[in-house]
Amino acid sequence: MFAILIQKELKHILLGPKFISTFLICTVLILLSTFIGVQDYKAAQSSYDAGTGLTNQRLSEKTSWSHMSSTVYRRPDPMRIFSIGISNDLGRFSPLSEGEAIRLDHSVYSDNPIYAVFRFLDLGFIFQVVLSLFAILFTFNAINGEREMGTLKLTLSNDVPRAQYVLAKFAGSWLSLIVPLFIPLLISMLMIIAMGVPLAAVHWVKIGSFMGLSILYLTFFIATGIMVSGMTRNSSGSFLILLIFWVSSVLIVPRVGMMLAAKIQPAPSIAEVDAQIDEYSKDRWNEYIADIEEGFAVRQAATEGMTDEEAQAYRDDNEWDWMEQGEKERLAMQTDIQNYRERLMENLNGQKHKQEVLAMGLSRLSPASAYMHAAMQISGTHSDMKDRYESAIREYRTQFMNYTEEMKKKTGMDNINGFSIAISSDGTAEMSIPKDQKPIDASSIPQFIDPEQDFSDVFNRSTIDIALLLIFTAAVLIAAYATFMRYDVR
Amino acid sequence: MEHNSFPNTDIQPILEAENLSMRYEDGNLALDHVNFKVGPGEIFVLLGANGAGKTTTINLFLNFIEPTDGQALIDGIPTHKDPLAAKRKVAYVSENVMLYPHFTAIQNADYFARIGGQNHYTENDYRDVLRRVGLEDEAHHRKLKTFSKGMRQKCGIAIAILKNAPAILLDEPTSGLDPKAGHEFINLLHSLRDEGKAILMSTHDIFRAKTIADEVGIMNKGILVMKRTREELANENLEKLYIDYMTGNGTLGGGEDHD
Repeated sequence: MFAILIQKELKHILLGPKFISTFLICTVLILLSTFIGVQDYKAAQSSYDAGTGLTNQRLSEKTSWSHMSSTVYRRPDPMRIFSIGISNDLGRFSPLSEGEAIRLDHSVYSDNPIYAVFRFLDLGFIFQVVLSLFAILFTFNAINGEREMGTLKLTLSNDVPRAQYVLAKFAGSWLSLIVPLFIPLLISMLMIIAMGVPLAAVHWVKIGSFMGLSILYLTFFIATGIMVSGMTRNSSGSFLILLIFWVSSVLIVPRVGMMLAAKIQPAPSIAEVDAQIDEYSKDRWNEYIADIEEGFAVRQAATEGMTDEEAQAYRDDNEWDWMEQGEKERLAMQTDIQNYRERLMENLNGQKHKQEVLAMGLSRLSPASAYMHAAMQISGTHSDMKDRYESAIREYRTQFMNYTEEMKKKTGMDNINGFSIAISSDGTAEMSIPKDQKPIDASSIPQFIDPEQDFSDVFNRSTIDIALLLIFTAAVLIAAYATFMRYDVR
Repeated sequence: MEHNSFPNTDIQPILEAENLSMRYEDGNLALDHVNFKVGPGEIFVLLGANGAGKTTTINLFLNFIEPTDGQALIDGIPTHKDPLAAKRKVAYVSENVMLYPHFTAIQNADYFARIGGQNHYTENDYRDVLRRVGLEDEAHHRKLKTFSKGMRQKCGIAIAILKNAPAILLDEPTSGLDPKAGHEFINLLHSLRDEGKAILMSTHDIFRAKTIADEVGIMNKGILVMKRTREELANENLEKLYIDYMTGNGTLGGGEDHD
């Protein structure tokens, strides 16, 4: 019986007008998205190759290990074809030098704002927005449509168990929406390989996980469509309810989650924090200057009654102590400002982290959000990508600096490009400009390795979202079953 | 075939309403202790205006709703206690047969025959039954969306025949049929009766009720106010009886009245 019901479902959907149009639109969108994704990846790879080439050339032209600096480029990952995440919003490279902060600059969108206007529609977006809508279009009248046609009554006038009927509805809709998707998805995989995108074993595991996740997400919407169609009498009513649900789930809840989190767990903006630091800095400088002025007045008072020679001798005797004292106070003041800045930044990061966790938690009420989070985690393009890269670059900076310091000592190149000024004991200065300076061996410099996420890490990060999607889907399926058992077929 | 006089009390009924009652959640009494029996080879027609309780009776036999009192039995099986077993014994034709518009007549017939437990039919079997109900060969492979209401109705009857169940329930099957199709339908129903099917049909068409029925029951406001056999009706005017019962002037006698 179950097989007969599924066969009928498949035939009913495949012969209907919705199927062919949906299939064609899905095929075009998936292939177009893959093609554009590969082009985008290749453009990012070219930019990366050019940037690293230039950096390596500059390093190889250096003749001294002193004051070494470099630039670290972020290698594009092929997974961005599937879920671009923040890849194009995050800077492509970071400067690497002793005193400079690690910051990823020059994102694709900041360099080419037009790309931000026409954002790249990745496969994740196609699944999250377009295919979920198609899943609803496929199922909104699965049960009440049959009631309207009169076929539900005729079918259930036979010894057809309702449980089998609703499960066959689900299975038939699932098979007729999901299985045909494998055709364009398979073609897109072949396209990625044919267009020369390098895919390692880990990428295939991630792609498989991404596809599995996407199918789970569509399963949720198929089950939801069947549940709502089994709760309502008319297909127009179920379509309206599902459309409102879709808009809320895909467009509203994720954004409301962010807004609510900002209200519940506010965090100051960077500008506000900068203003606070600036104010504190000014106060401390004013204090410092006031101290200097006070010290100067005390010293002036001490020379009162002295002759000019005595006063000069007094100043000569104490000059170094005063300078030392002044330097100590200045350093203390600057350390104080620095500590204050770090405290505020730490506090800001803590607040922002809490806000982010809350926003993620609230947005996860929407299955579309849970899908998006999991898809980005699997692709390694979620918001933690920034921290992951900055942390890796910071570590690399230490490694880079330690290495250059070591090489500086080893090669004796502790001068700037071999240029040095020597001051002899008699006060004469001697300038030395060495001839035939040899370039340093830049090939020995440790290379930056992009932070790879192993699959267990990816899995751990996406577990909560995958689990939520599983729970949502199971709950909706149970609800679809329970409501149909009591559905008035008349 | 000359039909036996009805009711034959020696034969086990296939369809039986036993104090069948239905009160909706809003308190509205849709059916009030209705009793009747339909034996094999008999046609029982429920005659009544819209809202009289005819469709509710059929829905109770199909277990689409459960009775608040009494029971509907199909071949001795109470439909609300073992609906699946009861449904194996009954075929159903609705007032407005729609079927699957993108399936052909044969595809529709095949699907419903198979869920009715008949997996052995060949295409020729389907064609034979479709011809029997008056659907011409050229229509057999046409999609249902191109069919007229009469053609769909014939297809629905073909599906009921293909199930080969001992009982057939027909809910206003003749509404919207043209006179020729209506005549063909009456002949078909008589041939099914002659094959031994127990047929329960609801209608508000007095002429057809009289032509088709072995026994007619008039329903008014959920009450089966009158029953007359074909023989009894030979001496009475069904139209007058119907109007009398509808207007509250119905009298006892001349058969089994409100039970």
